[in-house]
Amino acid sequence: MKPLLMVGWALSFGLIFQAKAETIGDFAKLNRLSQVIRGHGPTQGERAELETALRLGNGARFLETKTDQYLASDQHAFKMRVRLEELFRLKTAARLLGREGGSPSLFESEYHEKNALTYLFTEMGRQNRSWDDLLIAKDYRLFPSERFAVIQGIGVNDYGFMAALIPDLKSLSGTYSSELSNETHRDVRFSGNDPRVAGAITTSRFMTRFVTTGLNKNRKRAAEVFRVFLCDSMSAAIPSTEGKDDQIFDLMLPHDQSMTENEIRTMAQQSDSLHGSRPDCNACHFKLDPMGRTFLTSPFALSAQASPGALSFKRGQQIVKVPVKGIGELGAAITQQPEYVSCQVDHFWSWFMGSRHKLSDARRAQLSAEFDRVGRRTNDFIKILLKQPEFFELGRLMSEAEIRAQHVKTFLKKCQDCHKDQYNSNSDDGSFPDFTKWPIGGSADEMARWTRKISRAMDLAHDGESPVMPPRTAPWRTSLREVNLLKSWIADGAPDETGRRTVAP
Amino acid sequence: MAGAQTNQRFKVLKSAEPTGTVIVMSFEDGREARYLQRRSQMRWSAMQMDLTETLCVSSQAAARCELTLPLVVADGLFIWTKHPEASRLGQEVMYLPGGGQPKQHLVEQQGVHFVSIEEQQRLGSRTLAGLKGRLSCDKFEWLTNVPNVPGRVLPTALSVASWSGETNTSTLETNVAENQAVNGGFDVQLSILNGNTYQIDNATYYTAFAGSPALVSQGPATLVTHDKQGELCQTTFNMSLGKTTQIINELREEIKNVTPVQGPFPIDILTRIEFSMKGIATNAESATFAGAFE
Ligand code: HEC
Ligand code: HEC
Repeated sequence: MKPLLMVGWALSFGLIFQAKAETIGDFAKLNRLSQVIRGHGPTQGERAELETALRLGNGARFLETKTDQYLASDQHAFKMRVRLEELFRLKTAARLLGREGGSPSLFESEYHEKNALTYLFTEMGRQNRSWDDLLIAKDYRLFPSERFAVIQGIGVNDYGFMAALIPDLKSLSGTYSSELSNETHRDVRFSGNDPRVAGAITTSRFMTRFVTTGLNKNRKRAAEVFRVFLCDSMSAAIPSTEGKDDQIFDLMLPHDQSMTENEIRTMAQQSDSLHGSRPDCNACHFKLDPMGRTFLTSPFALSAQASPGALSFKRGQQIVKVPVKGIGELGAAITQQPEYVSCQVDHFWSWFMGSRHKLSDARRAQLSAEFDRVGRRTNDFIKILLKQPEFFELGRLMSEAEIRAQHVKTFLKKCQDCHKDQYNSNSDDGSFPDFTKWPIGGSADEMARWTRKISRAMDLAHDGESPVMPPRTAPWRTSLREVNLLKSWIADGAPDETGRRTVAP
Repeated sequence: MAGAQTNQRFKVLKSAEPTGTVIVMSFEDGREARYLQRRSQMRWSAMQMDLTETLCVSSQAAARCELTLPLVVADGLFIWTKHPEASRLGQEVMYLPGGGQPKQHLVEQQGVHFVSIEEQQRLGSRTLAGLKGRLSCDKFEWLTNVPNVPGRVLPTALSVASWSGETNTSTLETNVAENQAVNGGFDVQLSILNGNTYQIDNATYYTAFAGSPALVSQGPATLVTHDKQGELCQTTFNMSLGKTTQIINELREEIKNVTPVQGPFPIDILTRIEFSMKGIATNAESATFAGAFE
């Protein structure tokens, strides 16, 4: 039962598939459950058990029992950890195991295995924890991992990172202390409303991955929180780190600095209106800077003093602003936003359904309600997803036209990531149409008008030589490949997923 | 072949004696070596800090500051005290990693040690009177919110919520070098010495980065303090270690001619970092090395 068999089916049913889906047989179901949850196929014995169950007419019950077993396995906990590592753009365990070539040093693997964040990630699946714990957990398992702090020069380990809050860790953590801990780890718990700690984002590993400087002002950390928890990607849409590190690092590097910090600050203060004199900067910075402030006192380790800030972002044309006393309250405030819920549903959907099925707005809303109904518990929600009809539907191949349209939309999403918060002085209400919703602007005429504008803005006529978009201030540039993609797409009449032209060429 | 002899096991024994902590490497084969140090004079060195940005006061008045700390340069070395070959006695223990690699000193050479918060804290009651660091500035508005006018009265004591220093380095997560805050202190307590100098008394927490002291950094330093409204705000300085580097070089020359001694140094620099640099975890009861000691 190779999954590849499905390709044949898909070819013949190809484009009419969406509406009438074919589901797979019971053995393939067991296989898919095992693959998706545990990362490998079912055992010989399990297949035999399924055969027996089917003979007795217990197939469905058997699959349900197996699902529970798989969700209780260590492999599932490990897979969830790897998914989270990818989501956070951390080095993933899969890489460290050397599957991607090159084996890690002893220090590297010890560091990545033994730290509070890896532990929390693993606990999500192992303990069926509430997904909100990534933002609001107050309990940690800390590891001393002393040697990294000293030899690899990576700053502090869990003990050192938390020592300002738990003074008796200090004697075991400072790089100068002469006595080392004999502890393998220590479990700590802060009070439920402690404003200083917030699950995954107040761990040594998170802050070491997303470092800060006096100039950066914790914006890198804030941008990461927005991307992971609110699906608001302020640089660009990037699927995961696997093999794409270079691209990511390009994006992470500081962008244009033609404007002084003072100017940004002045604008941030006027951020209740988005119509600052440099709206292009403010569009991202009215979100990043108030959130970055919650990290202010904790540049290299976690401070005992909370730093107030705010969660602020745009919902439609309205500005949401939640003042918070510290990172702890920030985490809690995020979990209360509907944007957080639908964003997490999207993550789960892509993990368990892959790109085979698009999540419609209505389905997203329905699943968001389910997510809440099961108390946002990791495994409970996964079980709901596994019961969705799409899970066992046959995969299908995308047509050429679909692939092309998807590439174009992936690119235009980067424009949209910025435009959604910008003020457009060329339009009556200051808004932009979403370039990823076709026809752009809602009609064929508008679509034609907008493709011309995009063409001009990107200077496609001259192969993108002097573009005005993305603006100089954006943290990324269009590559030549992307220029060519857009140029040929527009030249061909901007075809949609069915290959139908949306504008006359 | 000396290099062929591998995996020599030894224990690191430490004992507190009136003259200070005695550290001995005791090998399974009966050889022994004792840790000695060479130390320079103590010198005060001033690091220049130029204010580049403050969000604490509205006027962007530039301020020039100096962070002054005492420093010494010290070397550690193990000297053979028991060895079957009489000619090796009194000589430095060298590490032979094998694989055709050259001999190495066992501990860091000519390490630079600033007297800073960490020494104050490690020594506890043996506080180093007169050796506390100082922060002097021509203008203190960014720190105190007191306008820089004649006859101003500065607060006698205050605290810096966070003092962080940047280094260009990479981490195990990205393996890409970038500027980042890596060391510093929280709740760094200052008390006034005179009209333009605060003394650095203590910090409730500090972290040092790979052997460099808490408050010293190559890259910019950012201090988080309180503004007039009592809200947290930050001020960033460019650090320049020029003069300090010169002093360090002078002291490095100086210790070449110093005879190694055992015993108390005014600053009890323990050797863990130095050990660690060669991969010896000092909490290990015993360590086994690929390679040999000669
Ligand atoms: C599309 C969103 C976006 C826009 C528009 C934007 N920024 Fe940023 N900015 C970011 C993000 C995200 C970061 C954090 C990047 C990082 O450190 O990885 C950042 C970081 C910065 C930093 C810190 C740089 C560093 O080296 O750490 C400065 C300064 C800055 N922005 C200034 C500006 C100015 C000035 C403008 C307008 C001219 C602007 N930004 C427009 C998203 C944006
Ligand atoms: C970092 C933010 C940012 C990014 C990224 C960005 N834009 Fe823009 N864009 C703006 C802003 C701000 C304006 C409005 C300028 C004004 O009001 O004059 C604008 C305006 C435009 C306009 C003119 C709108 C009109 O009504 O005429 C077009 C076309 C456009 N952008 C295309 C793009 C395309 C295509 C991309 C992606 C390749 C892109 N932009 C990426 C910020 C951005």
